[in-house]
Amino acid sequence: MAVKKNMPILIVDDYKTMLRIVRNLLKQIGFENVDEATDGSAALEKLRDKDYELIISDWNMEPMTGLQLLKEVRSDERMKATPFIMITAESKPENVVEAKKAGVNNYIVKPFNAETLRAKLANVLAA
Amino acid sequence: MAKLQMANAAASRLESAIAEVEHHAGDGGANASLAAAVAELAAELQSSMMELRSIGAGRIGAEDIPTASDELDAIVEVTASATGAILDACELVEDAAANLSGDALTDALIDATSSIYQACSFQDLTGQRVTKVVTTLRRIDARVSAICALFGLEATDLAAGTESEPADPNDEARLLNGPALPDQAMSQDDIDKILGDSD
Repeated sequence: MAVKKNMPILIVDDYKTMLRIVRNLLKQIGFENVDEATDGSAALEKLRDKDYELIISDWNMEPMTGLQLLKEVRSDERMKATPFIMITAESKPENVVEAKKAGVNNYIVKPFNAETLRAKLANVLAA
Repeated sequence: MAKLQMANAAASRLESAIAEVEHHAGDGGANASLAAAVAELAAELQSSMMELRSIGAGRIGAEDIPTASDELDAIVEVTASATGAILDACELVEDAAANLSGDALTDALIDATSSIYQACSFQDLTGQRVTKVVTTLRRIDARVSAICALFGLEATDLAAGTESEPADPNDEARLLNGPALPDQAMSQDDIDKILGDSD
């Protein structure tokens, strides 16, 4: 995978430890330009202020969930093509189907390892 | 449902009997007082049964409490597994530290791993506390079941009787279930198949 060190990435999770883990894993892969948000609505504010080239988001957050964030992103003319990876503990088939319908690029179920994240990133960024 | 109907029928027969007693009571004050007291009891009995029915007490014992204790058991299992992984990594660091030259660096690494070992004892304490909660939940479950049995209420009777709105297919709440129990969770491979993902 070709790594653009400064590629702006937004990670979204209401659990600070998970934000730390994902940030550290992205750093190990080579991505250093990473911003954080703790729920969908905070993420949306950041997305309106800056162009991100990848969004990695949890699902189950309040007040705005990851699915709602995804739908907002896909309905915005400026952001709609931004690659979006869901990383979540929600693992039922209907969750994956709903996320796919909403336009998710990939879906990682927690707990996950560094190799899975690397593989899914490569898949999404190559597309 | 049959037992609830029987209880309702019994309460109705009691009310009829009371009406009969009151009709024939005349000026008999004692009979009238007894009739009034029994009527009150019958009303209380019906009210209690309706209340139990409406709060879904049977479902609490049959579904909600077992689900809660399964979730807590899963917490203990997962934290034990994660702690094991942390300790494995610490042991690797210790082994690597032993091969380094430079006492100061080796000591620093060994100290750090000692701190991690100490911190990992959280899992043991967490496990004990969670086990206590599970034990309490199971005691509550047994009492709820006993109360339901006393009133002749079955879980299926009450589940059928509870008012619930039909699920809105557009409501995202139905999708928010949190982590699945270990034996029910989908693997990443299963998810990739749904997505049609080929890495």
